[in-house]
Amino acid sequence: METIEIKRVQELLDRYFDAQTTLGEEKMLREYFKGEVSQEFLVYKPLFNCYSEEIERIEGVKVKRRDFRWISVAAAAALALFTFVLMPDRGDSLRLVIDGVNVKNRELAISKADNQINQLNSMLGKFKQGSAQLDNMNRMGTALSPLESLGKVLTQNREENRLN
Amino acid sequence: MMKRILILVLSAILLPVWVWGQSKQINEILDRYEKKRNVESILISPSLLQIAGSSSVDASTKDLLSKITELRILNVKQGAVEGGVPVRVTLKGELEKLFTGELFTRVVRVQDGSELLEMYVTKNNPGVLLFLTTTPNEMSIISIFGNIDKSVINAAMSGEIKIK
Repeated sequence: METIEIKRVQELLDRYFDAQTTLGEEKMLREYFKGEVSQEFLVYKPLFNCYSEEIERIEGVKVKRRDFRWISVAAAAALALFTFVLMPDRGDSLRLVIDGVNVKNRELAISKADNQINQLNSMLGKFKQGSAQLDNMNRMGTALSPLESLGKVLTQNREENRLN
Repeated sequence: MMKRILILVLSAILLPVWVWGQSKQINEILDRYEKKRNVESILISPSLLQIAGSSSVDASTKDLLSKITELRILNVKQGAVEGGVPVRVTLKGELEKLFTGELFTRVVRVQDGSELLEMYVTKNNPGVLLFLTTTPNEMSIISIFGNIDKSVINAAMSGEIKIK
Protein backbone atom coordinates (compact mmCIF):
# COMPACT_ATOMS: atom_id res chain seq x y z
CA MET A 1 0.00 0.00 0.00
CA GLU A 2 1.42 3.32 -1.01
CA THR A 3 1.93 5.96 1.66
CA ILE A 4 0.03 8.54 -0.36
CA GLU A 5 -2.98 6.24 -0.53
CA ILE A 6 -2.87 5.57 3.19
CA LYS A 7 -2.77 9.28 3.74
CA ARG A 8 -5.76 9.78 1.46
CA VAL A 9 -7.69 7.01 3.22
CA GLN A 10 -6.94 8.56 6.57
CA GLU A 11 -8.18 11.91 5.30
CA LEU A 12 -11.35 10.35 3.96
CA LEU A 13 -11.92 8.49 7.21
CA ASP A 14 -11.49 11.69 9.18
CA ARG A 15 -13.98 13.44 6.92
CA TYR A 16 -16.29 10.42 7.16
CA PHE A 17 -16.36 10.46 10.96
CA ASP A 18 -16.92 14.22 10.85
CA ALA A 19 -19.86 13.49 8.51
CA GLN A 20 -18.30 15.61 5.79
CA THR A 21 -17.78 13.02 3.07
CA THR A 22 -19.59 13.18 -0.22
CA LEU A 23 -21.34 10.12 -1.67
CA GLY A 24 -18.46 9.71 -4.10
CA GLU A 25 -15.91 9.72 -1.27
CA GLU A 26 -17.93 7.17 0.69
CA LYS A 27 -17.97 4.99 -2.39
CA MET A 28 -14.19 5.30 -2.62
CA LEU A 29 -13.91 4.18 1.01
CA ARG A 30 -16.17 1.18 0.42
CA GLU A 31 -14.12 0.23 -2.63
CA TYR A 32 -10.93 0.50 -0.62
CA PHE A 33 -12.22 -1.66 2.23
CA LYS A 34 -13.39 -4.34 -0.20
CA GLY A 35 -9.80 -5.12 -1.12
CA GLU A 36 -6.58 -5.46 0.84
CA VAL A 37 -6.59 -3.07 3.78
CA SER A 38 -3.65 -1.62 5.58
CA GLN A 39 -3.19 -3.01 9.08
CA GLU A 40 -4.03 0.31 10.75
CA PHE A 41 -7.42 0.46 9.04
CA LEU A 42 -8.43 -3.16 9.58
CA VAL A 43 -10.68 -2.15 12.46
CA TYR A 44 -12.92 -0.23 10.02
CA LYS A 45 -13.21 -3.03 7.51
CA PRO A 46 -16.40 -4.66 8.97
CA LEU A 47 -18.10 -1.26 9.05
CA PHE A 48 -17.62 -0.54 5.33
CA ASN A 49 -18.00 -4.13 4.21
CA CYS A 50 -21.27 -4.28 6.09
CA TYR A 51 -22.54 -1.43 3.87
CA SER A 52 -21.19 -3.18 0.79
CA GLU A 53 -22.97 -6.40 1.73
CA GLU A 54 -26.17 -4.47 2.36
CA ILE A 55 -25.93 -2.81 -1.06
CA GLU A 56 -25.28 -6.15 -2.73
CA ARG A 57 -28.29 -7.62 -0.97
CA ILE A 58 -30.55 -4.73 -2.10
CA GLU A 59 -29.25 -4.96 -5.66
CA GLY A 60 -29.83 -8.71 -5.55
CA VAL A 61 -33.48 -8.11 -4.62
CA LYS A 62 -33.74 -5.61 -7.50
CA VAL A 63 -32.40 -8.21 -9.87
CA LYS A 64 -34.88 -10.75 -8.52
CA ARG A 65 -37.74 -8.26 -8.98
CA ARG A 66 -36.66 -7.68 -12.55
CA ASP A 67 -36.73 -11.45 -13.08
CA PHE A 68 -40.19 -11.64 -11.57
CA ARG A 69 -41.41 -8.94 -13.96
CA TRP A 70 -40.34 -11.15 -16.82
CA ILE A 71 -42.16 -14.09 -15.26
CA SER A 72 -45.36 -11.98 -15.16
CA VAL A 73 -44.94 -11.00 -18.82
CA ALA A 74 -44.29 -14.63 -19.73
CA ALA A 75 -47.40 -15.73 -17.78
CA ALA A 76 -49.55 -13.11 -19.56
CA ALA A 77 -48.19 -14.19 -22.94
CA ALA A 78 -48.81 -17.84 -22.10
CA LEU A 79 -52.36 -16.99 -21.03
CA ALA A 80 -53.07 -15.10 -24.25
CA LEU A 81 -51.62 -17.93 -26.32
CA PHE A 82 -53.58 -20.49 -24.31
CA THR A 83 -56.83 -18.57 -24.84
CA PHE A 84 -56.32 -18.25 -28.59
CA VAL A 85 -55.26 -21.88 -28.99
CA LEU A 86 -58.20 -23.07 -26.92
CA MET A 87 -60.76 -20.87 -28.64
CA PRO A 88 -59.34 -20.21 -32.10
CA ASP A 89 -62.50 -18.87 -33.75
CA ARG A 90 -63.89 -16.84 -30.89
CA GLY A 91 -61.84 -13.74 -31.63
CA ASP A 92 -64.05 -12.77 -34.59
CA SER A 93 -66.20 -9.75 -33.89
CA LEU A 94 -68.57 -10.75 -36.68
CA ARG A 95 -68.73 -13.97 -38.62
CA LEU A 96 -71.33 -15.15 -41.11
CA VAL A 97 -71.46 -18.70 -42.43
CA ILE A 98 -73.99 -19.65 -45.12
CA ASP A 99 -74.22 -23.26 -46.32
CA GLY A 100 -70.89 -23.95 -44.63
CA VAL A 101 -69.12 -21.13 -46.48
CA ASN A 102 -67.58 -18.24 -44.59
CA VAL A 103 -69.12 -15.11 -46.13
CA LYS A 104 -67.08 -11.97 -45.64
CA ASN A 105 -69.86 -9.43 -45.90
CA ARG A 106 -70.28 -7.32 -42.81
CA GLU A 107 -73.47 -5.56 -43.93
CA LEU A 108 -75.17 -8.84 -44.82
CA ALA A 109 -74.13 -10.39 -41.49
CA ILE A 110 -75.48 -7.42 -39.53
CA SER A 111 -78.68 -7.39 -41.58
CA LYS A 112 -79.27 -11.11 -41.02
CA ALA A 113 -78.50 -10.89 -37.32
CA ASP A 114 -80.78 -7.87 -37.01
CA ASN A 115 -83.60 -9.77 -38.73
CA GLN A 116 -83.19 -12.72 -36.40
CA ILE A 117 -83.13 -10.57 -33.28
CA ASN A 118 -86.13 -8.57 -34.48
CA GLN A 119 -88.01 -11.79 -35.20
CA LEU A 120 -87.23 -13.04 -31.69
CA ASN A 121 -88.23 -9.72 -30.14
CA SER A 122 -91.43 -9.69 -32.17
CA MET A 123 -92.26 -13.23 -31.00
CA LEU A 124 -91.54 -12.23 -27.42
CA GLY A 125 -93.74 -9.15 -27.87
CA LYS A 126 -96.58 -11.19 -29.39
CA PHE A 127 -96.51 -13.75 -26.64
CA LYS A 128 -96.29 -10.99 -24.12
CA GLN A 129 -99.46 -9.38 -25.49
CA GLY A 130 -101.30 -12.67 -25.62
CA SER A 131 -100.44 -13.62 -22.10
CA ALA A 132 -99.18 -11.94 -19.00
CA GLN A 133 -96.86 -14.85 -18.51
CA LEU A 134 -93.70 -13.18 -19.73
CA ASP A 135 -94.40 -10.10 -17.63
CA ASN A 136 -94.77 -12.37 -14.66
CA MET A 137 -91.56 -14.05 -15.65
CA ASN A 138 -89.80 -10.70 -15.66
CA ARG A 139 -91.13 -9.84 -12.26
CA MET A 140 -90.12 -13.23 -10.97
CA GLY A 141 -86.71 -12.80 -12.54
CA THR A 142 -86.24 -9.75 -10.39
CA ALA A 143 -87.74 -11.21 -7.26
CA LEU A 144 -86.00 -14.56 -7.35
CA SER A 145 -82.29 -14.34 -7.53
CA PRO A 146 -81.28 -17.98 -7.97
CA LEU A 147 -82.17 -19.05 -11.51
CA GLU A 148 -82.92 -22.54 -10.26
CA SER A 149 -85.97 -21.13 -8.50
CA LEU A 150 -87.41 -20.10 -11.85
CA GLY A 151 -87.23 -23.66 -13.04
CA LYS A 152 -88.89 -24.92 -9.90
CA VAL A 153 -91.71 -22.39 -9.93
CA LEU A 154 -92.53 -22.66 -13.61
CA THR A 155 -92.62 -26.28 -14.48
CA GLN A 156 -93.33 -27.32 -17.99
CA ASN A 157 -96.71 -28.85 -17.09
CA ARG A 158 -97.87 -25.68 -15.50
CA GLU A 159 -96.85 -23.70 -18.56
CA GLU A 160 -98.58 -26.02 -20.96
CA ASN A 161 -101.78 -26.16 -18.88
CA ARG A 162 -102.01 -22.41 -18.92
CA LEU A 163 -101.42 -22.16 -22.61
CA ASN A 164 -103.70 -24.98 -23.78
CA MET B 1 -47.24 -12.07 -2.17
CA MET B 2 -46.13 -14.89 -4.44
CA LYS B 3 -49.12 -16.97 -3.31
CA ARG B 4 -51.53 -14.17 -4.20
CA ILE B 5 -49.98 -13.74 -7.61
CA LEU B 6 -50.07 -17.48 -8.18
CA ILE B 7 -53.78 -17.58 -7.27
CA LEU B 8 -54.47 -14.64 -9.61
CA VAL B 9 -52.59 -16.26 -12.50
CA LEU B 10 -54.33 -19.60 -11.91
CA SER B 11 -57.73 -17.91 -11.74
CA ALA B 12 -57.00 -16.04 -14.94
CA ILE B 13 -56.12 -19.30 -16.63
CA LEU B 14 -58.91 -21.43 -15.17
CA LEU B 15 -61.82 -18.99 -15.54
CA PRO B 16 -61.83 -19.00 -19.37
CA VAL B 17 -61.54 -22.78 -19.27
CA TRP B 18 -64.57 -23.00 -17.00
CA VAL B 19 -66.60 -20.54 -19.10
CA TRP B 20 -65.58 -22.44 -22.20
CA GLY B 21 -66.60 -25.72 -20.59
CA GLN B 22 -70.07 -24.37 -19.84
CA SER B 23 -70.69 -23.33 -23.42
CA LYS B 24 -68.64 -26.10 -25.02
CA GLN B 25 -71.52 -28.51 -25.65
CA ILE B 26 -73.80 -25.98 -27.30
CA ASN B 27 -70.92 -24.56 -29.35
CA GLU B 28 -70.02 -28.03 -30.55
CA ILE B 29 -73.55 -28.52 -31.87
CA LEU B 30 -73.62 -25.09 -33.51
CA ASP B 31 -70.18 -25.65 -35.07
CA ARG B 32 -71.35 -28.90 -36.58
CA TYR B 33 -74.67 -27.65 -37.94
CA GLU B 34 -73.34 -24.40 -39.42
CA LYS B 35 -71.49 -26.47 -42.04
CA LYS B 36 -74.71 -27.89 -43.47
CA ARG B 37 -76.63 -26.69 -46.52
CA ASN B 38 -79.56 -24.32 -45.99
CA VAL B 39 -78.14 -23.36 -42.62
CA GLU B 40 -76.89 -19.89 -41.70
CA SER B 41 -74.74 -19.03 -38.73
CA ILE B 42 -73.86 -15.60 -37.37
CA LEU B 43 -71.44 -14.90 -34.56
CA ILE B 44 -71.45 -11.43 -33.04
CA SER B 45 -69.26 -9.85 -30.41
CA PRO B 46 -70.92 -7.64 -27.77
CA SER B 47 -69.36 -4.52 -29.31
CA LEU B 48 -72.00 -4.77 -32.06
CA LEU B 49 -74.88 -5.04 -29.63
CA GLN B 50 -76.90 -2.29 -28.02
CA ILE B 51 -79.59 -2.01 -25.43
CA ALA B 52 -82.78 -0.39 -26.68
CA GLY B 53 -83.64 2.97 -25.18
CA SER B 54 -80.23 3.59 -23.67
CA SER B 55 -77.05 5.22 -24.87
CA SER B 56 -73.81 3.34 -25.38
CA VAL B 57 -72.17 5.42 -22.64
CA ASP B 58 -74.89 4.58 -20.15
CA ALA B 59 -73.26 2.83 -17.15
CA SER B 60 -76.00 0.20 -16.81
CA THR B 61 -75.82 -0.54 -20.56
CA LYS B 62 -72.05 -0.89 -20.36
CA ASP B 63 -72.44 -3.16 -17.36
CA LEU B 64 -75.04 -5.31 -19.10
CA LEU B 65 -73.08 -5.61 -22.33
CA SER B 66 -69.90 -6.39 -20.40
CA LYS B 67 -71.63 -9.55 -19.14
CA ILE B 68 -72.18 -10.81 -22.68
CA THR B 69 -69.15 -12.42 -24.31
CA GLU B 70 -70.75 -13.53 -27.56
CA LEU B 71 -74.04 -13.84 -29.37
CA ARG B 72 -74.47 -16.67 -31.80
CA ILE B 73 -77.37 -17.35 -34.14
CA LEU B 74 -78.04 -20.52 -36.07
CA ASN B 75 -80.85 -20.49 -38.59
CA VAL B 76 -82.06 -23.72 -40.20
CA LYS B 77 -84.31 -23.26 -43.23
CA GLN B 78 -87.25 -25.53 -43.97
CA GLY B 79 -85.46 -26.92 -47.03
CA ALA B 80 -82.49 -28.20 -45.05
CA VAL B 81 -82.62 -31.97 -45.43
CA GLU B 82 -79.85 -34.49 -44.94
CA GLY B 83 -80.22 -38.21 -45.70
CA GLY B 84 -83.94 -37.72 -46.19
CA VAL B 85 -84.33 -36.31 -42.66
CA PRO B 86 -84.99 -32.60 -42.09
CA VAL B 87 -81.95 -31.01 -40.41
CA ARG B 88 -84.20 -29.23 -37.91
CA VAL B 89 -85.46 -32.62 -36.69
CA THR B 90 -81.97 -33.99 -36.02
CA LEU B 91 -80.90 -30.67 -34.49
CA LYS B 92 -83.95 -30.59 -32.23
CA GLY B 93 -83.17 -34.16 -31.17
CA GLU B 94 -79.62 -33.25 -30.23
CA LEU B 95 -80.75 -30.16 -28.35
CA GLU B 96 -83.40 -32.13 -26.46
CA LYS B 97 -80.68 -34.48 -25.20
CA LEU B 98 -78.71 -31.49 -24.01
CA PHE B 99 -81.69 -29.79 -22.40
CA THR B 100 -82.82 -32.90 -20.53
CA GLY B 101 -79.33 -33.23 -19.05
CA GLU B 102 -78.01 -31.50 -15.98
CA LEU B 103 -76.67 -28.39 -17.68
CA PHE B 104 -79.81 -26.49 -18.75
CA THR B 105 -83.07 -25.36 -17.20
CA ARG B 106 -86.08 -24.50 -19.32
CA VAL B 107 -87.35 -21.11 -18.27
CA VAL B 108 -90.22 -20.70 -20.68
CA ARG B 109 -92.06 -22.50 -23.50
CA VAL B 110 -94.87 -20.74 -25.31
CA GLN B 111 -96.72 -21.87 -28.41
CA ASP B 112 -98.97 -19.79 -30.61
CA GLY B 113 -100.39 -21.87 -33.45
CA SER B 114 -97.43 -23.05 -35.49
CA GLU B 115 -94.95 -20.74 -33.74
CA LEU B 116 -93.03 -22.01 -30.79
CA LEU B 117 -90.68 -20.11 -28.52
CA GLU B 118 -88.55 -21.83 -25.92
CA MET B 119 -86.00 -20.32 -23.61
CA TYR B 120 -83.27 -22.21 -21.77
CA VAL B 121 -80.54 -21.14 -19.43
CA THR B 122 -77.55 -22.95 -18.00
CA LYS B 123 -77.88 -23.75 -14.32
CA ASN B 124 -74.47 -22.41 -13.49
CA ASN B 125 -73.10 -18.95 -13.97
CA PRO B 126 -71.39 -17.94 -16.25
CA GLY B 127 -73.19 -19.77 -18.99
CA VAL B 128 -75.61 -19.56 -21.91
CA LEU B 129 -79.03 -18.07 -22.44
CA LEU B 130 -80.62 -19.81 -25.37
CA PHE B 131 -83.76 -18.98 -27.35
CA LEU B 132 -85.17 -21.59 -29.67
CA THR B 133 -87.77 -20.31 -32.10
CA THR B 134 -89.66 -22.56 -34.50
CA THR B 135 -91.89 -21.31 -37.31
CA PRO B 136 -93.19 -23.26 -40.35
CA ASN B 137 -90.36 -21.76 -42.44
CA GLU B 138 -87.36 -22.06 -40.17
CA MET B 139 -85.91 -22.93 -36.84
CA SER B 140 -83.51 -20.54 -35.09
CA ILE B 141 -81.25 -20.81 -32.12
CA ILE B 142 -80.20 -17.51 -30.59
CA SER B 143 -77.62 -18.12 -27.91
CA ILE B 144 -76.15 -15.48 -25.64
CA PHE B 145 -72.92 -16.50 -23.92
CA GLY B 146 -71.42 -14.87 -20.86
CA ASN B 147 -72.30 -14.05 -17.28
CA ILE B 148 -76.02 -14.76 -17.65
CA ASP B 149 -77.64 -13.21 -14.61
CA LYS B 150 -81.17 -11.91 -14.18
CA SER B 151 -80.35 -8.51 -15.69
CA VAL B 152 -79.26 -10.18 -18.95
CA ILE B 153 -82.31 -12.48 -18.91
CA ASN B 154 -84.68 -9.58 -18.28
CA ALA B 155 -83.09 -7.45 -21.03
CA ALA B 156 -83.30 -10.32 -23.51
CA MET B 157 -86.88 -11.18 -22.57
CA SER B 158 -87.98 -7.57 -22.82
CA GLY B 159 -86.58 -7.39 -26.35
CA GLU B 160 -84.04 -4.77 -25.33
CA ILE B 161 -80.99 -6.44 -26.87
CA LYS B 162 -80.55 -5.21 -30.43
CA ILE B 163 -77.93 -5.07 -33.16
CA LYS B 164 -76.24 -1.69 -33.67
